[in-house]
Amino acid sequence: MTTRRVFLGQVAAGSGVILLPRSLTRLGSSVTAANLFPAIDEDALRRFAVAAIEAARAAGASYADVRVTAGQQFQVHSSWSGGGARPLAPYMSLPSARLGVGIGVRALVDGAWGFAGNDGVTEGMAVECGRTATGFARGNRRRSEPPIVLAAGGATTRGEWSTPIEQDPFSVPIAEQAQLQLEALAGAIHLSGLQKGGVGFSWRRRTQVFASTDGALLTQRFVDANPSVGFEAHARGPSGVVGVGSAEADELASGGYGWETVHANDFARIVRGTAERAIEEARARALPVKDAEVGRYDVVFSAEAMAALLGATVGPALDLERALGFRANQAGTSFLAPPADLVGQYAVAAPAVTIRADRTRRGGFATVAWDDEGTPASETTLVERGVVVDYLTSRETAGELASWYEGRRQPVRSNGACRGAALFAPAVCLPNLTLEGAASGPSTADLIANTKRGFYVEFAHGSADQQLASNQFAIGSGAVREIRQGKLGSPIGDFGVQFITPVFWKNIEALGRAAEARDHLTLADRRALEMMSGNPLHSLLATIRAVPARVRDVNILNVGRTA
Amino acid sequence: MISTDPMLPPGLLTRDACLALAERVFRHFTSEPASLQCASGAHAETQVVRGRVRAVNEGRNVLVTLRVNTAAGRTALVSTSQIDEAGIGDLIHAARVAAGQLVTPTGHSPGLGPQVYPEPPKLCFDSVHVPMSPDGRAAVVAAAQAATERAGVMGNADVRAEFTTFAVLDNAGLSAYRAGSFAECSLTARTKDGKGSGWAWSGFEDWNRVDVDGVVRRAVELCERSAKPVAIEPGRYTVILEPAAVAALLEPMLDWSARKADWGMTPYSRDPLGNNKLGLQMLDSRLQVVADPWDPDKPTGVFTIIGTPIPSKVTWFEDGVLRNLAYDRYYAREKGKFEVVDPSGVRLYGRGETTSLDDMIRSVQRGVWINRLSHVGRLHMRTGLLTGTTRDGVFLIENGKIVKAVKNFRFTESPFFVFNKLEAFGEPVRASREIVAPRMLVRDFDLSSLTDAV
Repeated sequence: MTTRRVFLGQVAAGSGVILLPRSLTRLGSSVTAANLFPAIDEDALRRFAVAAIEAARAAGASYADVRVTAGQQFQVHSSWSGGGARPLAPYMSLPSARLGVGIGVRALVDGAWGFAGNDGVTEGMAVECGRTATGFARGNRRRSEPPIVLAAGGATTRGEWSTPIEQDPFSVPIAEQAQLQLEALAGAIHLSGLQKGGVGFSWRRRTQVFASTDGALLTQRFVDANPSVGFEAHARGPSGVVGVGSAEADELASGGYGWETVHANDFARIVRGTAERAIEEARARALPVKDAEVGRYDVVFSAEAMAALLGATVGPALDLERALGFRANQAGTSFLAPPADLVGQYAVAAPAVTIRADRTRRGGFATVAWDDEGTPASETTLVERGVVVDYLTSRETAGELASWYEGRRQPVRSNGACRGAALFAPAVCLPNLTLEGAASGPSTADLIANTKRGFYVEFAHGSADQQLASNQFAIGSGAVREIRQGKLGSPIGDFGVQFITPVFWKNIEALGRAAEARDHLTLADRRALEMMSGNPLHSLLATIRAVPARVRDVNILNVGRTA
Repeated sequence: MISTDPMLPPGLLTRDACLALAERVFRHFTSEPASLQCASGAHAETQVVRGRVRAVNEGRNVLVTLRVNTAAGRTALVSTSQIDEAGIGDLIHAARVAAGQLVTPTGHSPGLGPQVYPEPPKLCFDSVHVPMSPDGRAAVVAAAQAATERAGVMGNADVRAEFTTFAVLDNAGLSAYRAGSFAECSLTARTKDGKGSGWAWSGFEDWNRVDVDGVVRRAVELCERSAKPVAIEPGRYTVILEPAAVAALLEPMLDWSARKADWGMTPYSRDPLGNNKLGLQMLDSRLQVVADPWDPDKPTGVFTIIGTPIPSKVTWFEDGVLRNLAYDRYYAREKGKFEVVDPSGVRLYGRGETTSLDDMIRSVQRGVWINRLSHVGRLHMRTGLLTGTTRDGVFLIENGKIVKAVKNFRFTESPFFVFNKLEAFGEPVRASREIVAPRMLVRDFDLSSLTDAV
């Protein structure tokens, strides 16, 4: 019998033969995740939705809408740890599954809102939620002047939609999924310096029924995938310094995909490549790195870094609820305010910049056919040639931009940015966003080659402020390289970036080519995360897509101070 | 079994309901280890936006999580929010099928079994039924609306209340249950031109200890006084940090995991080779950081989410020296240490004489008074360097007096630097949901740049 220790010894000795744990050879179960769960009873969801709406109407609501959601989530994860005193063979962690059903009803009485939500649904609960929400709205109306008026555009008919996927991950045997993970791990762990690693597949399917007193009865079936691969490695440098490196795979698409996101790729190659990157980073960190020199420099940001910065700066600043002050007592407001004065007038970015919101894009985490107010999904240009031309709106807020829309002969209607859930009243949240590039734009290599002195930044994240007006963040030495005379140079340590948001976006002097666009996943709304913790069955993510860019005069900090 | 006898809102899982659920589930696992976590909650909220009530919300959540360990040594973790007969049947089925798919058996992991818990502090208060009702919250909202209207400023307020229950049980005899309540009120008052802003918060497990009048008065006053801020040069200033600002700096320090420290993943790491900073002087020698479930200003439960007892308070820092890190039972066994459980929530306080706000202000030649820090993010793991911005009340102090409102700053600081530049401290108060902290007078605080954000 091959013990774990012997197994590790064999692969670590570089025998060239990958031996798998004996348990793998016994795989063959055809049980799928679908076998774990009961079928989602869509008729029941629709019945609950209609009951809630009728109850709200009967209680006096002038308008009401409801979201009834049933969701199922399954996770398969395999890990390996080789850095401690007792190295292990790759093993499958305990599988986990979640089931959930919830309902959220929103009612309007004399222009005032009320909302009631519940985990778990029966017809009686649905009726109670409809009545309770209406009761709250009625009690609230005296203190809620001026009355809320909803913009037109909500659905008034029946409809159905499903995430377009190629293969349902719930139909793939769990053992086959685990085998793919374990074989891929076994193909990577012999690499010298690796400490630990893990691969995971998280699959979710949910059916959401939306109904409203406008006559809408919409059924949407979502499937999404969130595969992950990560490794940590150590390397000792010539001076004895131990560098710690980590890497996560970015080749596997997350979002509205099925099993194809894993199966259509060379998964083992991706896993091994991620392990190699972790080792490279550890080696780089073990070497003496050059410290960041403070000052203003040209910086080339990778596509993923630009996507992260879009999702942390201009994207949420264009949330009309935020710009109108709805979140003043929570996350904050927006520097893009007052919206009615700025829209069509204010240049927030360089003329080359166009930013679109798109909830119809295939594979996006925020992709739908209708948003959670029943507004049909569409593509909306938010920033055109650098100028703010629209905000992310809801039916409640779209009227704030009425004169702008009317001046452009556009209907005054929501552009479909609302999300809601059982315990979360509908609110504007980040949709999928795109920073567009041109087909003939420069490649990342071209952007670097045209930079005399500066830096290349591979990853970014943001630490904004309460109006998203400024940002500051730091990046590890594995993700920053110096650029000298058009060539990549040393890794840079203690590297920080600070900027004023509109100055940064106006200083974009070149955008990369569309073919190099990459996605970054971001939380659609932090408030939603807080309110829905414990309920994993609602979508909280958005997919932000961007191309690489070169930005001039970026303020570089050294974050290595020790006092 | 730990008992509390709160008056819970309907729909929450009482102790008896959790026991009944466990009995229903465990009869399907008579010879195999199984454990159950049962969480439920009811929350209610009234939100005021720009002076008007925008939302009155109420929600109820429930989550039951089953962990099974089959005879073949296979485990699975399954949860559901549907706890009727059919839902629990689905849960059991999913757990059995999922566990059967575990490729690498983990071996038998026996449950904790019966545990002895100390007498818990009171966590659940009937007074929270007042803000749970729309009318109870309406009274608070009306006070905020009246005060902001009188002052001619825009009021943005949240009044929230919640009851929660949590139980962890296993079929080896573990049975722990707690119920808790919490209520809070916060107000951001902004001038109509959006140039000035003031904020205040008060929250507690007992609504009777939530200072609604104080929140309204303080937020409106800070807003009025901050109406016309002027820009001053960024740089290093002596600052007075209000308790909420201290809590914002302290919060990123609360990752007490010894495992992560040994792996080089927190500021408590010496290196990534298994060495941490236990025993090192890391803060001013007057400072203490403790987590005490019986803290009258921040009571918490006496068992963890897996049922491990929390027998006593934990001293993280004593006289500025790192005295403890958290060792779970597996890591403690691996490292030959005693298990140390993180009770959640902390009290930061200074040993010695406290200083009043007036005396702090009087002692400052030139400095800045900071009400709150916001959007705090980490810049450097090893040093704990943070960035973020001041918010909702920043004032210049000159010659012992507050002289004017100033524009907001971005700061670049580490709590491990700040808590070594301590000049004076006040009495600790409940500063956030998880933290009790004092006001502090600190020298050389790095207000590194200006921000236009208000």
